[in-house]
Amino acid sequence: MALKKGTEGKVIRFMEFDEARVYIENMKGHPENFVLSAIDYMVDHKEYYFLFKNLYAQFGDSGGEEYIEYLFSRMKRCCERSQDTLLLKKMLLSLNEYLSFRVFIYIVDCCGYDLNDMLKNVKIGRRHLEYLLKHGECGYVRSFMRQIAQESEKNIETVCEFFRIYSENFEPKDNPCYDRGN
Amino acid sequence: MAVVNEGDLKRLRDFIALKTGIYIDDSKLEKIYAKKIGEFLKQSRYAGDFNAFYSAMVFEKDSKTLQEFINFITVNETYFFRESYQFDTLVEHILPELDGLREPGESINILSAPCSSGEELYSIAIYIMEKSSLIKKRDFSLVGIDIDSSMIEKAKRGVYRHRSVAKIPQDILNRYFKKVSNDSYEIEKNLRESLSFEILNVLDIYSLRRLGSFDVVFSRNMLIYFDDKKRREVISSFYSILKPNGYLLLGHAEKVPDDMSLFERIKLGESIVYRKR
Repeated sequence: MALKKGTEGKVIRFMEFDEARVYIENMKGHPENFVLSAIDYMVDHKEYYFLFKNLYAQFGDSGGEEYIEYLFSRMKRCCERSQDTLLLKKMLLSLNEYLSFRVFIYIVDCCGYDLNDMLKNVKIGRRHLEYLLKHGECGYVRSFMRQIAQESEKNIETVCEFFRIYSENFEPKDNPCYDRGN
Repeated sequence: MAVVNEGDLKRLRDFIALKTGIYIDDSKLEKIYAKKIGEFLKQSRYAGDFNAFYSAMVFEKDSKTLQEFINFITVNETYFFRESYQFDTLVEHILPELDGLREPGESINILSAPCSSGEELYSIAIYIMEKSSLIKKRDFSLVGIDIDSSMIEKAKRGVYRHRSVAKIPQDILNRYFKKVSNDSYEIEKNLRESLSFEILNVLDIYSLRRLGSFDVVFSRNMLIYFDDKKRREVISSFYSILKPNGYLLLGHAEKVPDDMSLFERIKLGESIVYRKR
């Protein structure tokens, strides 16, 4: 045995939609390298609707991390058609947290979507905020962060009002909003 | 020296990022690259005419200057046995594990991306020959790729300065190298001819796939030059060319983002490595 030149890997590259289609329609039922190559075909030919629809149907609840990650890492442009955007919104609200967060990363990276609209009803957690903070150069991100700040301020005021009433029965120092002058 | 204004520099910076994945931040662009790019532009056939140069690059009308410009931008600092604890991890942990998983007779394929002038890939080959008994049992295929054509040429030539081989123990140096001048050493012919080197851009997924599938990918000190988006893209590409349970080894300052679940992060020997899930 020795060092030798070349590998024995077979290259899979689909040339027609119908060749690739079957692997997208049933990702769980085919070998991974075929599915990844089918994703390449669909992304290169901008078949986003077909791709998203199948991804959501098969992994809307759970699983598929490798295909979700691969697909969105390969997406070099923002989808503009309303049918694609609608599916992105659906995925943002899906039960599959991996899918939801990966779509979130994609739309933030794109910097081409109105985030106030896209992220309506999406529960924004700490990791979302951390990601948004890294992308403050994007106008859509700044606008969304402004909205979050305004809403947070309203919430804080409500909470402080609650504690103001509550602390009437206690020492002022027990009021967590004491230093805010409320 | 040709003076390139800030706006033009930023346009060029975006083009470089798109083409190579390398992202130059504002401070480096101004402090380091402005002068270098000005000098490159002056010495090029465009003699300081930025617009003509930029247009030729973007529309790929001048592939020779484009390749020279990519060679000029890329960073190529490396030497033999650099961060050798990772090579120990390879021969002591990873290869024995893969040997148990792969079919008898199946070769073990290792990719070095980017390989620069070849020191990493030759180091891996030497480690396998010296420290792994598996070379008696299996074939190994070692492939190095880099976007910089001058580095690939150097890797194929296999001639290195003393500074580059300084970390190699003397007995190994004697076995695998021939001293060709006071300050240069040439890799032994058989070893040189057993490895493959190719000019290839890691962002070109189809060319990457054409290389075949790999058991181990070494990609050290490249991702640090990429932005988040390109980093994820390249890591996903590596995932797609790795065989099941294959390994990705990164530089000590690099990591797969925590929210990417393609790899399992584990410690093997002295190294942090990433195993394909």
